[in-house]
Amino acid sequence: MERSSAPQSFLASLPVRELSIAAGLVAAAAIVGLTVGAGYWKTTEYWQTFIFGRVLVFGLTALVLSHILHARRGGPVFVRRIPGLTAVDETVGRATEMGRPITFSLGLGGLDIITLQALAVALHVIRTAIRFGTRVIVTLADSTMYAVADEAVRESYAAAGRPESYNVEDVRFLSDRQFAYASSAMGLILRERVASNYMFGRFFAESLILAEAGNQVGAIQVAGTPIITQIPFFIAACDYTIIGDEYYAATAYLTREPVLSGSLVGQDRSKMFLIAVMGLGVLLATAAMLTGGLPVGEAPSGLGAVLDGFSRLFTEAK
Amino acid sequence: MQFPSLQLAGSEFWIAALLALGVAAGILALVHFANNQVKRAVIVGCAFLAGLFYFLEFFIPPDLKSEEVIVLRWNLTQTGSIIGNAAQVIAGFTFLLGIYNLVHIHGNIIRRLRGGWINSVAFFAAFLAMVVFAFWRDWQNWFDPLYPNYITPGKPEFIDPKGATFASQVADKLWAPLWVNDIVKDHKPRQDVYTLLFEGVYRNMDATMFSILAFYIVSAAYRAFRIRTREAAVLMITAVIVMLGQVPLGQFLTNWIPADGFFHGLRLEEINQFVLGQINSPVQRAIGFGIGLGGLAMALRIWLSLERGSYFEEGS
Amino acid sequence: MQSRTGARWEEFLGRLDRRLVSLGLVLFTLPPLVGKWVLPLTASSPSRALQAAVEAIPPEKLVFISSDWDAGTQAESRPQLTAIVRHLLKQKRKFVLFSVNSPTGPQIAQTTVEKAIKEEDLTEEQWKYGRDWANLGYKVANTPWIRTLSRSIQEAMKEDWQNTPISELEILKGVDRWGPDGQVAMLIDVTGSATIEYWYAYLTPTKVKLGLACTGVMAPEQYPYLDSGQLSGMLTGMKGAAEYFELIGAPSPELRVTMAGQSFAHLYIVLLILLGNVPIFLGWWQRRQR
Repeated sequence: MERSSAPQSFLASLPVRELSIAAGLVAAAAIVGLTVGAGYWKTTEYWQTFIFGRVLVFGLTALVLSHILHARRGGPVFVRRIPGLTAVDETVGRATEMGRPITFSLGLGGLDIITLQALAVALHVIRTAIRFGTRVIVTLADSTMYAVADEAVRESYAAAGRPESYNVEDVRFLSDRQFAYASSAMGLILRERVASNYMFGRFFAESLILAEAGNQVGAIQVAGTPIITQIPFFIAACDYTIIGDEYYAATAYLTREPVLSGSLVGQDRSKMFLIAVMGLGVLLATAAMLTGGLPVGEAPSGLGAVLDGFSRLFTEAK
Repeated sequence: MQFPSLQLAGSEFWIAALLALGVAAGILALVHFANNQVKRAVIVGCAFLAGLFYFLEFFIPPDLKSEEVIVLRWNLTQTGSIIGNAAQVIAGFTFLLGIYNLVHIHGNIIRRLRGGWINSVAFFAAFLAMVVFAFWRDWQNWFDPLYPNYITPGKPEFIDPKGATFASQVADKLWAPLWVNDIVKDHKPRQDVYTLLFEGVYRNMDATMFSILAFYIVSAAYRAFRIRTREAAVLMITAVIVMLGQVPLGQFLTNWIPADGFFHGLRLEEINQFVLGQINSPVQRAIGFGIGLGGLAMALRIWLSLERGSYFEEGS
Repeated sequence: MQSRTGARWEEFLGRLDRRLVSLGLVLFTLPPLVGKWVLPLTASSPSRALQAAVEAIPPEKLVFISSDWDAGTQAESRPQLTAIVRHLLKQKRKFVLFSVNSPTGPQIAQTTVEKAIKEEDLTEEQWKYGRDWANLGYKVANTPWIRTLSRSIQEAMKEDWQNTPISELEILKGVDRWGPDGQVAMLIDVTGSATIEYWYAYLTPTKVKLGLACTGVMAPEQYPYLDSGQLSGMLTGMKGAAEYFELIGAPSPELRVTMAGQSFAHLYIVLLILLGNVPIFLGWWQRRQR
């Protein structure tokens, strides 16, 4: 996703100072946890899942945190193009030309990171649209999120110097029932004959209902969700679909804030670490298989036992 | 810090509730009149503390017996559930806000007789019908929790098991007829208006919306799989294999290949399983890793209030 | 360049009313359903794996079924639960139900199981509630509760769905731990939502076998867990249920017909996809001719 701007070796690019600060913080938290926790660590169960449940998650947290800290004083980071997000100008421009509104569906999610990320993208679209005087109608299925979104959109209009242009009807709570929300949002898309339709957030079976409604009125559609099962539906029915971790990279991409891009670097380094772990596992398994240490249904021996121990490290925490 | 299990009754309860309301109003007023810098500090501080709480609750090993997290005699798990209840109350109030939004929008449409105003009338009719019949049905139980929730045919229609308390007298006065609250024991489902609206109307409309999906999948699929590029061709061929491999008809096409012969891998259902297990599954895993790490980074950003430009502070 | 015929096709398809496309789906699906057509069904490997896993359970051990569905997904989940329960009945394996997803789950599971017992020609006395099976009802699955459950079933499950203390249920006497060292050999999650995630996280360390019966849309996401061995087997949607009935030698005539209907729906989509590509095929062909 990212690439450090200056060509330098991987090791030299590691933010050693911040990494040690973050590791120190995380280690301190771990020590506090061990000392005040209620004797759990005296059991074997705790140590069996120690690596995965404590060390690995702490380690990844430290890695991401260190890059965020590093980025605060570092320069800009290159973030590759994310097609769905470069389309914001195109979608707003089209709506302005056609004189029709844009709909932005925030999905079924409540006040959580998924919907907050969707709201951040929505606010970016709204800020762009305010400049052209184009309407963006935000629809929601969660009332807590409605309160937050209403305030944030109002603030965006105020920040753009046009508080009077804010229309209460442009942030809509439709229903907290899945299909009631879907039918209502679908009706809105069809009645307003929207020029562009965004779907970001937590989506389930209603994803295709909304996307097909947008398709019927010929809207440009952009969708993004971390719910893996719904991604194929969006790909089939939308012009642009944001896949996987692109979803969480959206704000970094849109705002170009060094701190946010920094977290992307941390994310990518964490991913490299996981890939290395997987590579090691594959090598071990292959070697164990070749040396005959991995008989099926029997106790593993030799390299097989090593592999067994290795995979135990990554058994889920209890 | 163990929360004492305080049981307040009567006037004590009302005084405590009023006090809590007063304190909340005071805090709100303070936040409202504070300048932006103070506001920001309060928000960042609150976000950090709240995040820290759940961080500790998650990572500190739980007590072996109760499976609850206890730090220096402070039961974090219990506090967590109190916070959860508080969040539910707040969500309840925001729900009123949501309803206000709906009423406002539809009210406006009717008042100005905008196009499709008849739909807004339908909204009000449905909304009021559900609200009235749901409340009317259950309100005896508000005044008298012991109000019987069933009666046996042949016995007097209204019985009060605990004698005529004040509450039950009130309940008596507000009594709902059987077509509003059907409490006849043998009636399954209940034969009252609410059940008719919920089971008879709402459930079926819900199911209808769900089944519309089947039709949309058809139209989406046939538009999506145009083989304009080589990749699209691969996508289409895979889709066709999986679609046919999933159903008996597809399996029927390659049934002539012996299931235990050398070429059994060419049977459609085998290719389908290969696609799902060997191609789909690693991709799912890779996307899953990305999303997991992305979520971790995003959570850290929200916790440490680093996502500023994204929400409220553009231009400042 | 597109040919003129191709362009005309494109125009025709573009103008094709989507209501006609939908009507086509109805017309295509109806004949097999009305005519009660039956097509031979081959069981997929995840379904066969589930059957093998159930049959490998030692006879003295219990199976727990987490029945986490309600009216919303009953078209898929109900036949799945019926098939699994009937298999357990045929194998004379005792089982215990509970629900963590929906408060209406226990009722709907109860009626499904009672019906399955009747379908296996067993009387209430032959397969007795409390002795051979039990329904522990709806439990609120917060993290402390799941942690407790993974450690001690007796502590987590206090009473059954009718509030009978579990000490009065013969089947649960001395049943406390999961896995090879415990009394419960397998947990099968029949679900319409993501409840299986709890069991991956908290029951995998106990080495209890996990089985899953989920809706068709959820299935692709679960394949990584089949690969890693965290899942012993899986039923996918209505198709999984139909396959399982075939595997246990009690084919369901109803599901066979429904599967034929589904076959024709899939065929219809494939034909439409080909139809949509006609202009592109025509273009190729004409370029070849020149």
